[in-house]
Amino acid sequence: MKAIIAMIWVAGVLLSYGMLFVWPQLKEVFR
Amino acid sequence: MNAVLGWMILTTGSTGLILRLFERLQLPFRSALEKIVFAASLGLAFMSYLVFVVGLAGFLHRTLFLMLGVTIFIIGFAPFLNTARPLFISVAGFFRDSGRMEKLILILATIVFLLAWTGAMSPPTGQDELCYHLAHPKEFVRSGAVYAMPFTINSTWPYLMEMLYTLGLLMHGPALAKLFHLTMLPLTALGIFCFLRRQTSRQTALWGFAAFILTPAAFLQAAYAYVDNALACYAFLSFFSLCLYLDDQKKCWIFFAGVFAGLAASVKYVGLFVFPALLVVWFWEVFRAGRVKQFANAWACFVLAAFMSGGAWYVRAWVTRGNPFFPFLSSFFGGRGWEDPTYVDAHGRGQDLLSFLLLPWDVTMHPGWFGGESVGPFFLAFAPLVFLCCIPFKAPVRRSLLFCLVYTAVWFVMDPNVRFLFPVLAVLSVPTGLAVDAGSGLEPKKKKVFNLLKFFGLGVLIYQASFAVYHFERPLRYFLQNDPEGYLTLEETYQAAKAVNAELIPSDRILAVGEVRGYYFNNFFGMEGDLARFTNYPENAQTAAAVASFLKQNGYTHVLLRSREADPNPLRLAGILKDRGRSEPYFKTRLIVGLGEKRYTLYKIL
Repeated sequence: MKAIIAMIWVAGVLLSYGMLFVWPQLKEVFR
Repeated sequence: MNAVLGWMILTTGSTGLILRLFERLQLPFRSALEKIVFAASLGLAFMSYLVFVVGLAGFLHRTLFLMLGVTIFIIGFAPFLNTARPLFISVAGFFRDSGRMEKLILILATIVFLLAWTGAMSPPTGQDELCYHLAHPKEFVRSGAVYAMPFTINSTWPYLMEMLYTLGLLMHGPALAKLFHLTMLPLTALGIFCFLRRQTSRQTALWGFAAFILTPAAFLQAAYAYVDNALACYAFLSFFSLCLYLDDQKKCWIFFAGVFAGLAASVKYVGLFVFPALLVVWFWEVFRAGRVKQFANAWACFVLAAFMSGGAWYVRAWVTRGNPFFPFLSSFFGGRGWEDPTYVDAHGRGQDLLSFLLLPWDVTMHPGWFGGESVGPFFLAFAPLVFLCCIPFKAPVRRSLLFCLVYTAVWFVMDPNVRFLFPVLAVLSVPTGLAVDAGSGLEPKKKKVFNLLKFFGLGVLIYQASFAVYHFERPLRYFLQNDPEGYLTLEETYQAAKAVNAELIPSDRILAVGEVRGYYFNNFFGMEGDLARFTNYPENAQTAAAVASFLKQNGYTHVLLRSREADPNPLRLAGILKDRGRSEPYFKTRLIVGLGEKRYTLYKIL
């Protein structure tokens, strides 16, 4: 159970990071 | 390459010197690596103080330091070799015996370090290094002495690293100076490895090591002559020593904790944040273990050691500027310092409790709010897992989290800039490493999901390492082509300085208006903003004649104005200079350098 929660947390953080930090920068690069 | 040779001679010599002392004192280090990490960081501090003392006496001469460097190398080389030889031999075995994932981490860390090394070997371009980290050491070398430069805000700050940069510039050039800062990155990471190695497996320790050394903000900054990696190193070693003291109650460790805390405060004022953080950890553990009686003695030892290793800078600022924390706390100590001691308005979401609680999220997702340096998602993704996987907290996790909480709270109130948070990132690497590798002791079936987590972790580290490839592309090209002119094409102060340097003689003194990056200028480089703060001259001298007379009285011979056509109503001296009808008889134009829309104009004060 702990491992599943940990997995969800890590995946959530990485997804958010991708959307909030990486994606806006990529948009700038390709603009 | 001479820079690398100089760096090797000075670091091995100073490390060996301290190792010789360690052997005499029979200190209870657990491993050769631990001994070398402590000795190297103390050795560099010793070299720094040597430059400081000799510089204050006005004997900053290359020949003298060449002799001192060779002497230190001769004394220190044998003990260094004796301690390091078995370590070098075991490195190959360490790599061979590591798992695939660990091997990849080691390769990543090596690539990032080598890329940062190319950054350190290239000419300086960072804002603060051009402004004072290297500009002031250059002035110290030029004048052969370390002194409180007149009308400068920062020349009396704690300058532990700047003394090493002075040594670097004196013996070779900026590359050697920058290598001293780069050294602090692996030293901190290896310190984390040694700390974790005392409690856990090699694999777990390696994750902690990777968490710090592969933090983009840390490795990118290590290539510049900034000081924040040194702050992280000394703060972490202070925390490490305190933990060792709390575990085995040996007095030598609390002495080390004090010395390293003092050295952290010698790197920059922000190092003082380490004291409340250590004190809270210490109090917590003392009351928990019921050892209140021994506390007073140990505390006295800690404070004495800290004052011995860091007090000099504060006494000096008090004597020269009338305020030990100049220009901060000027409303309390007096002097013409800064009224607002923080940059809070420029950083973060706000100053309320919610903003504090959201810091881990905001620092990761919105680095632009905190100075712009990215810490990457590794800490946010894995550090919180300690609350899931490491309960009940063992001492290292408990102490690390407490340290991070207190330091971050002080940092949040005083100056939330990511660079100043490096000590927290170093200490947070301990629980992060433990959390990533939390599944290592489980049975194979349960271990599978945790192994998947480690794969995620490795992916994040590879992503973070890619920052190095992106950022150090130009330094790498410079390293391969060795073309400083090409590398510095974009550095406008270099272009301006080339023309200005050709125009002036060594005794000329420049007052810069609208420009703070003085490193490439070969003459004394004062800043008009600082002069106005110290003397309040615009109130007393309002005409071109009065200002010219005032500047000449204070030894300035030239004014350098950086301006743009679009600048609206320039302030103070810039405004006077713009009105050529009034200023022409007192400020004669000697040179104009146009760089795009910016223009540097050199005036001779008549």
